[in-house]
Amino acid sequence: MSLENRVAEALDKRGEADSDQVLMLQYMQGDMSAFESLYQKHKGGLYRYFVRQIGDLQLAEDLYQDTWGRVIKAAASYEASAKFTTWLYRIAHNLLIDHVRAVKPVDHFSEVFTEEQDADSFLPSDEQAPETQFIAWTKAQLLKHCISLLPTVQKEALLLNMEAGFTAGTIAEVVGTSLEATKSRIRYANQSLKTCVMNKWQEVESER
Amino acid sequence: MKDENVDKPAEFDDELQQLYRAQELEVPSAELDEAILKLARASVKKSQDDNVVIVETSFWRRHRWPLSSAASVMFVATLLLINQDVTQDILSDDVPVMMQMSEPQGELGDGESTQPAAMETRSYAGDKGVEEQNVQATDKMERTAPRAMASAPQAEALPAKSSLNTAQQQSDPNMEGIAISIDDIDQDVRAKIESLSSSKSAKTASQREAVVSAKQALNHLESLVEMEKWADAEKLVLKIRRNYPELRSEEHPQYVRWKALSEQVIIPLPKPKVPSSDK
Repeated sequence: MSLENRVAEALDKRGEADSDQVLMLQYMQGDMSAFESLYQKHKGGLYRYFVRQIGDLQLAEDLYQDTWGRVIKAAASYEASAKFTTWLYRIAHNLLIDHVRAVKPVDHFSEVFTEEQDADSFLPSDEQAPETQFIAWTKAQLLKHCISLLPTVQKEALLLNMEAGFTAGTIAEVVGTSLEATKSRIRYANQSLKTCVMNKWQEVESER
Repeated sequence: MKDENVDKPAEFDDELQQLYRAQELEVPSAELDEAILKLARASVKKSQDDNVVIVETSFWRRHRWPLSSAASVMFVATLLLINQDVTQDILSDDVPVMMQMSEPQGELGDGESTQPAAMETRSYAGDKGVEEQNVQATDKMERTAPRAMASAPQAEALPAKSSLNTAQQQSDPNMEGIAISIDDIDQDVRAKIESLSSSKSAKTASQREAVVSAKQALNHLESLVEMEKWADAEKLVLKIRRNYPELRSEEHPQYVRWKALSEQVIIPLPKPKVPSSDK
């Protein structure tokens, strides 16, 4: 990616962040359409943040709804100086942590898949799909499985990066850790996912 | 908050990112969306209802600070006016300590406590009508307002002193008549001392003795003499004579002082007359 593209992307993100704050301020003044825009913009990422960390869909939806409820309730206390997405995902993270603390230890709440899951389950159902589409789809399924095997903290760092587009510094701010620890989590997650997807893909290819 | 322009993006491989984007994207159900938007609408409506602020423009609310300040000043001023006498009594330096201590006598004796000075004065004055009227007036004042007397002893002392001086002036031409009257005074004084002694409880007497020493009593007597408060001085002399009999002893260190002061206030008791037949 060229420097110009990176600057443009950064400016674009900056503009998006500013627009989020403007929308939030407009909602605070009673503009319901501003909230609808804000909701449509962030609902998918936040929803997947919960669903892909928690195996229980119902619980994920409850936490998702609870997060938006808190946003609505705390809208009056929202400060325009804080980035909206950072604020939103901090609320989400705190709710998740509260739930995990109340239910079970941090590192064991997310097991969508098991190690013994058969590699056949990752094969595409449509036998007529083109080869490239087949490979991409299969690897995406493998990645989904590998993500589920990640430790919780690494999984959260990945989801915050992928879904919210946060940098390591922002992730550290949201989850309340140091920048070095966050970078370390990202590095380990990246390495683990690459290894896991490669191994699983080899298994799939050997079975073909 | 960390500046994101400086912060490096998280280091996930491009291939991983592409694979991640290739996944099916879970989205919340329409029911869930509607529930959240409904909650947001309700919150907006509620906040709009809450934002209707009725501005209070009443006179009392607009001027609450000046009014409350004025009310406070009025309250304090009223309290000071109501309690003016009390504060004056407490803070006044004019009231001698011994006079305050002698007040219970007036209460116990119900007017008799103020009698000795008046009786003596009456005896000194003889049949002088004017002085008698003064004495009676003084006597009446003391009965009705003993505290007021205490706060203004100067006014009371003047007639008594004048009558005393008059009696002294009269004693020169006619010593024999005076001698008889002095005997009467002596008897009256002694009777009064006894009555005072009997009217007081032993406890009160012990308390006063504990509080005031003979030297202090003489100091007070001296101050009364200097201020020419003769009526109070007479009372004090009687009290000292009763409470400190040791002062009669010539060996007492305060004897000379006591004698001088008491003679200034009350004419010294004459020696008993020796009948001419005994000489």
